[in-house]
Amino acid sequence: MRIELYKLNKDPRAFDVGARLQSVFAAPLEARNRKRGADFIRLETHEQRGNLWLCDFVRLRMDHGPSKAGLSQPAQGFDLDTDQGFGEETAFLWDSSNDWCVVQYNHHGVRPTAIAEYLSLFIHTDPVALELMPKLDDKIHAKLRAKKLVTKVTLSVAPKELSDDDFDLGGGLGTAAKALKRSDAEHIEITISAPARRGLDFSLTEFAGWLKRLGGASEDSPVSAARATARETPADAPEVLDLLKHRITTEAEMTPGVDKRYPIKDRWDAVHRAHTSWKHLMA
Amino acid sequence: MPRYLERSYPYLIPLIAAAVFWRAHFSYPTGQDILSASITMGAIFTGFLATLKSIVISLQSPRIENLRKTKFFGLLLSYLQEAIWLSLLFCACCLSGFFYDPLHPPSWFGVLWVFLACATLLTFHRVSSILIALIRNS
Repeated sequence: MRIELYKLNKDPRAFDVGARLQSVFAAPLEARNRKRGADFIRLETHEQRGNLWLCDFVRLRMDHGPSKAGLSQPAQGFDLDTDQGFGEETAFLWDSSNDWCVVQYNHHGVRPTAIAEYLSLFIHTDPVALELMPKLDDKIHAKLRAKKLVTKVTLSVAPKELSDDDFDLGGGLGTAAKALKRSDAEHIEITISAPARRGLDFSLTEFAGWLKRLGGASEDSPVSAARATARETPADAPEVLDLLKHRITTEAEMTPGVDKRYPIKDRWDAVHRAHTSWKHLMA
Repeated sequence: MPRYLERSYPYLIPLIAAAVFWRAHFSYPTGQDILSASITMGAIFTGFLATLKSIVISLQSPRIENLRKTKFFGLLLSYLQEAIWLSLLFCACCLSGFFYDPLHPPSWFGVLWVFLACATLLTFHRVSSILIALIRNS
């Protein structure tokens, strides 16, 4: 499970996020739902550990979802009522003493932008501007040089749609007509991995340079995410490096429960541990 | 194919063909049968291209919508327009041929006919091949 570090920016700065969270928890479950696209999101449960507020956001996927399948049983749908959907859970930690947040990354879950928007607009008569800004790794270049044992590289590419840029580059209409069919997929993810002892024959600095030439983290770049798991020596703990946005991230090993979900307590413990390990970064 | 070549090949090849026709002193057929046949061909092309234009405007699919948002769609319409105008010009050229003595047409008339016939065919080929690719991929 991937975990990321964010700073909560507030406008007005004196806004009490704790009071906003309390008002969410005071509301009954059905009153916490907020529509986002075809789905709903809500803040479902929480636990307070001193200054830390550990929350669990749920996205209700109302349109489509996975099936239930067994080794000897065919895949079949879940028996859901019309007002039910598939729940995607995201653990969220807010440190009330310094406004740093630690967020579980769930691709299908509630993303940090949605969390900030949910809390900003929960009381529609009292909207505020909350923003979760990812913490960027200042030491990324030194890490890229030092961590030569690369065990995993993940690259997400958003195939480019036909645009006026192709026209300005002198592309012909015949080529554009043929390219129309290629620009159908929304997202392609490539993962290359190797055993921890051996690692990949891979230069992270060269790879990061190539990503920069493609446009880095800008909207023009076809690469939407690039991460590498690397370490200095086989004995070191692996670190996940965000090569595109240079975010502070970590991976937590999780064991699914009998219901095949990561238990909420384990996810909260994981974000709590990440928060403790990142205290030196919360300047 | 780069756009500069795509834009110019339906005119460059006819220019070369007309130059070869002129330099090699090929003879233009006498009589008015070729004029009537050419007008029929030009009229068919014009009608067909005008129908194509209305099909292009009514095409609807997410991919076509994507194309419509770019400058390429304007280029497609200009290719169609060029093909229609060249077909009409070819018809007009052949019509003017009836004003000359069918046994002794002026020497430049054959050169003009070769240029316009080739340009009409190639602009038609350009736009129809692009439209087939569009329909296949949309």
